[in-house]
Amino acid sequence: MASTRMRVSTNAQVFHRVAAAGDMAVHDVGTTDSVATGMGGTADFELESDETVAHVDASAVFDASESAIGSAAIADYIYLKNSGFTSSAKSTATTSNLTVGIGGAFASGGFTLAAGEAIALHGLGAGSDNLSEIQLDSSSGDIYVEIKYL
Amino acid sequence: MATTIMRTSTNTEVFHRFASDVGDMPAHDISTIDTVAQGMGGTADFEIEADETVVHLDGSAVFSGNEAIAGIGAITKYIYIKHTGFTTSSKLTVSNSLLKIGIGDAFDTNGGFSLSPGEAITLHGLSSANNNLNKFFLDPTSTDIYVEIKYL
Repeated sequence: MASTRMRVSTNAQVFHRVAAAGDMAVHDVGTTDSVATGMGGTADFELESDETVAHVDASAVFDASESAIGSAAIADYIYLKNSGFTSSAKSTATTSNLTVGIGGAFASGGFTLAAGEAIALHGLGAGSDNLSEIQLDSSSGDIYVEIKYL
Repeated sequence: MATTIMRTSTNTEVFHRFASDVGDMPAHDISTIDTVAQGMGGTADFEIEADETVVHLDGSAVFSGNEAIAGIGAITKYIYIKHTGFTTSSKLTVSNSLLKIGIGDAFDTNGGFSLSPGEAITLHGLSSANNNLNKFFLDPTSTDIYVEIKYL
């Protein structure tokens, strides 16, 4: 028998983008602020003690009206990605931001995912361990959000 | 003049681990074949300031077994939190505690998530209910954890 595990790796970089001027092309340069360097980490942890698991896909389009993802218990983790597209066909890009309300509406607490950004949350609190307690809202227009959970 | 931009990248993998308890078979990992749990990750660039005049702040600290706020200080752009996997800033003693993080209120009240040893997370575009260090509640499940906290 095998256990089921998840490995999460994240990296955050801060840099400056210098606009084009004269014959100088636009370019990026890393920050020299030591506080904002070396940000990232990796962890692997057990989700289930056996290999008999069925991950669930709840991906959907969310518009500019805040709404819950659905209604189902999240036992182990939830993965959210602002796909950067307006539909599952991924034929039309969107730069809209996606607010993620934790424990209910965004006004009660939460964060934002930019286009293309993903996050995996695990070990959820009792106030946020159901799809009904995580609310999503596009800053403008539709966003196709990839949602997977267990 | 330049803008200040943040790039975040995440990658999440699901796999199975076999223990080394069957004959001469060593412990080994094998990826899931569940298509739902594959291809999880993303990258994004986004502007955090319109100029290059920024001062990032370090609020790193040791958190003990009692739930406590991350400090006091407005978070205007982002917060980075890492469970270092150690008990102190000297990083001599390993901590295997789980770090619970309450968002907007205590972990058991409004909800939140957990970080395993070594895991880091960057949150930006925060709600007015958690755009201050005193709206993040950190709680190790057992031993002390030195937590790296950076914010702007």
